[in-house]
Amino acid sequence: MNTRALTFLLLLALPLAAAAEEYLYVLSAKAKLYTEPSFRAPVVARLSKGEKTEALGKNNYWFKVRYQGKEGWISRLAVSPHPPVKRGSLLARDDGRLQQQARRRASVAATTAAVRGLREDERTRMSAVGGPDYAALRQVEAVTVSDAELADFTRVLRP
Amino acid sequence: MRGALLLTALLVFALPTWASGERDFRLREHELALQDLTGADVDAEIAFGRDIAARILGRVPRYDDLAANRYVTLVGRALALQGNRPELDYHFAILDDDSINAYSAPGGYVFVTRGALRAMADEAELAAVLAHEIAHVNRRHIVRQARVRARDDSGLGGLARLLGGSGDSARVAFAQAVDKAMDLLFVQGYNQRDELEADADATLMLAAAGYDPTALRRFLARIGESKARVGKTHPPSQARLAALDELIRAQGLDQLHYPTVAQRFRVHVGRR
Repeated sequence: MNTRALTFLLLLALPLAAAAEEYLYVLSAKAKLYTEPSFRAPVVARLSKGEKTEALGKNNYWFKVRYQGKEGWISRLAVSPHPPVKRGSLLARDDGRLQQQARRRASVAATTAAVRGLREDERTRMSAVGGPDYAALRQVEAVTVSDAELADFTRVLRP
Repeated sequence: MRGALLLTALLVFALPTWASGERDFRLREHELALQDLTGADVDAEIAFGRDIAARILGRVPRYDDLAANRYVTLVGRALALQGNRPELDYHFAILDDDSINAYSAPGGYVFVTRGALRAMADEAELAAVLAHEIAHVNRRHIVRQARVRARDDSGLGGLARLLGGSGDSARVAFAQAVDKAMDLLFVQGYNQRDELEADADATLMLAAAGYDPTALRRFLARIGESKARVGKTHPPSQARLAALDELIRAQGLDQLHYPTVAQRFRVHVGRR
């Protein structure tokens, strides 16, 4: 076999090597590893956020994974192919800037309508929708609960 | 030699198909879309969602009762912990509206109406409705349907660019995306695929959190039979009920007998 043919085959084989191992990271606060893809099955292990598992397979609602040498099934809701993303820092910015941005966006609403070619009745409907209420939004964001309060609150649920 | 080379090449081509079939590990569209999320993408998603959340509150007033809003927040946070978006801060609030409805905006903003609370029998049903909305957030259904596209089909690359953009075209495109999201929430509703995904996720989220996982099925069936004013963007269709029945049956969820927490719900929501 000549060198060119060998290179060709090696190139073809590359994706296989890359796909050899797939990992799933636990992104929920906690997650259970079950012996079967069922919440009714015995629990093999309890995992915490950020822990890495090796993906072995999947069905509609579960991933089969290997974790610390143990194989089991984990809910698809709890994991993701990427490790935890650094959370957004936008809320730390001042709202003034955001409201300024909102006003700026509102100022182009007419342009937007023109670009979309909306009929007059559609433009009327859009303007009747009402503007953003950032004061109410800040009140929503101000409602906080502590981890201890949440832990106490969830005590009545099935562990 | 040429024949052998061709055969080898064909075998190598065929291998990935066989391998993926054996491992049965192919990421779905939304999983692929979450794969490359960056901090900037998340910032953009939250900013987009804040704009939409503020507009929802501009259209439907917030119910000004701190104790009730804190209660809904505790239920919502218990569910959000089960999801795969720890980078988001979830916020929950009651809207002062008699219709039976719930809304969510990208980035973690979830709203439920007083009408919906009145139609619920217990805390598990409240958890079910919040979980359904959390699922829309976590799967970025609005971001994807608003089709803010620039770099790719995931939407976020485009969204991050729009927020950072200063030109008129970027501003117009952002305003279009917000308009489209509002249209989706208040006029068109989600497409059926997104609704079915959110229903399934919500039911699994209930089981993971330790709530009765049949609660969404119960709630949808009840409001489907009632004459109450049900939000037309979340119709409790037969297809949704049938899909939930199949999920509950296949996973044996009705055998779990997890708590409904009816008494605490009555204490916190009873007279509201």
